[in-house]
Amino acid sequence: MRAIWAIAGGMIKELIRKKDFYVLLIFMLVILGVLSAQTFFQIEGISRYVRDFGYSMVMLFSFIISITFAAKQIPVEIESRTIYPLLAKPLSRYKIILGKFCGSMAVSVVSFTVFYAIFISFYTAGGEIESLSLLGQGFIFGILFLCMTSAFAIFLSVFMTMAANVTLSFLFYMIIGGFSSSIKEIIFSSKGVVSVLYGILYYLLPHFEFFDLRVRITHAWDPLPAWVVVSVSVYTFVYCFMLLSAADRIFRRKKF
Amino acid sequence: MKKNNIALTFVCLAAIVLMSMKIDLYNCVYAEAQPVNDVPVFLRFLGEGRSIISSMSILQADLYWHGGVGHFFEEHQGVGVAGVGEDCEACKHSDKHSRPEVSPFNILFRISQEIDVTEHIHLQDSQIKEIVPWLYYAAEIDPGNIQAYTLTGFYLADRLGKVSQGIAFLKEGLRKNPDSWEINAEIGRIYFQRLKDHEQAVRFLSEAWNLMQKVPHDKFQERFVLSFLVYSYEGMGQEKKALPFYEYLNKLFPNDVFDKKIKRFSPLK
Amino acid sequence: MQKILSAKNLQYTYESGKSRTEALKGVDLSVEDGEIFGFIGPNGAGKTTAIKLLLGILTPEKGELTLFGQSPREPKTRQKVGYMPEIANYYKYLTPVELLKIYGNIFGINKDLLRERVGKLLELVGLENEANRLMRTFSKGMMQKVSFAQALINDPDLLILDEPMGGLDPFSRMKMREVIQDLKLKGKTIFFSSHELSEVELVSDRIGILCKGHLLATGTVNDLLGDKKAGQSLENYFLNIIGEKI
Repeated sequence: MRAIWAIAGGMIKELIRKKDFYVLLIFMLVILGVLSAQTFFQIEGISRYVRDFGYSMVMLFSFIISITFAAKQIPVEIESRTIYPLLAKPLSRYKIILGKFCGSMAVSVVSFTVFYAIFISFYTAGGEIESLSLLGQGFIFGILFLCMTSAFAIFLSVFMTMAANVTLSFLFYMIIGGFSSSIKEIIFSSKGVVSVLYGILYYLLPHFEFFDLRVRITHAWDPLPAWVVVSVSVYTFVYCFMLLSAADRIFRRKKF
Repeated sequence: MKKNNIALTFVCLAAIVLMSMKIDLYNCVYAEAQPVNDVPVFLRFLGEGRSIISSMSILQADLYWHGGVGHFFEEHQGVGVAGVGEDCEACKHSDKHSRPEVSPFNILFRISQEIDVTEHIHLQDSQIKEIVPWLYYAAEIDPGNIQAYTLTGFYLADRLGKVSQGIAFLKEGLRKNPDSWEINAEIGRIYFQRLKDHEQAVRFLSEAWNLMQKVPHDKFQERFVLSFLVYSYEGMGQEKKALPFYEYLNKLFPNDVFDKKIKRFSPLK
Repeated sequence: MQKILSAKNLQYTYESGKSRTEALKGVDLSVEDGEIFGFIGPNGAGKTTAIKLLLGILTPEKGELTLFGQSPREPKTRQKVGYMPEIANYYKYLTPVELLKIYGNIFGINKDLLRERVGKLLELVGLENEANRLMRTFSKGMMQKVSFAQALINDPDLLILDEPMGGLDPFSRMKMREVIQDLKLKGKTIFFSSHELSEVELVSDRIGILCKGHLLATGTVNDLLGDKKAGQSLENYFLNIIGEKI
């Protein structure tokens, strides 16, 4: 466990010392600051669009950090040959994968927590908080989302270049996030073998849309029932376990 | 050989200069035709994309109006709607029907259904203000988007009680789109309905009527402008001026109300 | 003497699509406890492949390979191994102290001992003043020193050095030679590959010459040069023997 956290710790230092995080942080502060300062026709208390932008930025920026960090771990280690001293250490390959995953998660969670805290502070400044439990669910779902994206990018990183990995991850994020309801409609409208195939595909694809509480938080809808939070958590852990196991299998066979 | 090369170079240069002038001229004509004088420079870079983004901003306002939920189900089921928090049977009915029946073992679909918000609501009272930013941005991004001005004017004046701001914003829109009958009509309507300023209402509605003759329009649009115009004339006590419009309206939409008015005002001819 | 490293009929082939490159063609090798073994050969001889096999980075296609009597693929075998790669490239956003601490933690070294060892190692390689500077500002030679320090972080019984002198100035080379000799005196076993025949000649107890995947000769410098005419250098011997093979 100490070895895994040693690998992860190095990645946190990378986050702190690289500019990526600060650029996104400043960008978010500026955008939210400008949006909050904006007044429309002397109407007070307009807050939903700030919440909407704020939550979207939190998720997008955390996703960017998570994907770019996770996607580069293995390919950049191989390219810069830093992988050799690491492989020469008393570490099994699964621990390297797990260390990289934990590192990506740690980096993502730190970034997400900072972004979310800023979002909450703008949220509270804009008016009263409609539902604390919904905001809590938003935080849990954000962490689960980053768990999923980190595992997904780590899985791709064992056999893809960083550029291909980031592109594919973004495509998945946008297609699944943006067209999930259309995908469901297609599955429901299809019949026979095609319907079974679509169904299998639906179960195999990572459901990034599960974690998106933007509409609920922006428009102050009711929080989700507890069973949904538990189910989504279980789904995330099972999916991540599968992705990391597959990554480990591929990484074990990899010749350096 | 050398002479040929020099000649060719000159011909190419001349062609480039002429083409540049032609393109520049086209750009100037195009730019003059666009109401972009007040558009920030960075938005001008978007070119025609501005109208798309502006339309998307209006769609976003519509989405907010429905509590962030696309009103696909409303269009397809035609059931009633409720305000946020209202315990409405129609609303529950809509919600129930919008979800396909799923087996309890189909766990991913069930989770997805729970997470998706499908309830059908409309914003109520002070909540309506939440759509204003999107309408405002729609107009800011594309000053040629007439709908952005008329919708903003309507919500400000009729729903949020900000009549003077609504009129000011519409007049701003009119400054950028001086040929818009829609904006003139909306200003006239607000003067008539909200301020009971019949004189101003007549001024803008008459202008709207004149402008709409120059562009394709339908009879319902004519009814919209003329009905407010005739009522404004009546409000000013100038029934005589309203009479020809009543006659015209009666031709378009024959009904008792117009008929009675025509009979009442005919002696004034 | 106890055998630290033993390889019998070691074979390895790289496959890329339909092309096959035999990197090692049945290498027999053994290194005994406390000796310095110099591994020399021209480019593409298979030295780095052999080192990757020794470190468990690659798995032998055929043959037997043991370190301390165990398979190098077992992580616990590598607990007693230190490795300095040919190209010294480390995480540039870290300082040498942080890098050594990360590697020390991977070895599970006690915190206090690790702090003490990091300080001593940086002093040993002459980077004590650069201990908290980000490595992105380091020269190639400085990176090489960091690389050497990280190879010693676990106080290894077997030290595998791949081209350790590359990128070092003459003074640093001399220093490294001294350190290697010191380590030998402390009973450490050192296996190192190099192009610098003079360096190998100076520090090695035994030498192995690898060419085109074959181990052409092994033995002490005296053994190898003894049956040749007097005054012959290792360089001439090396050129002759690989010349015959090529």
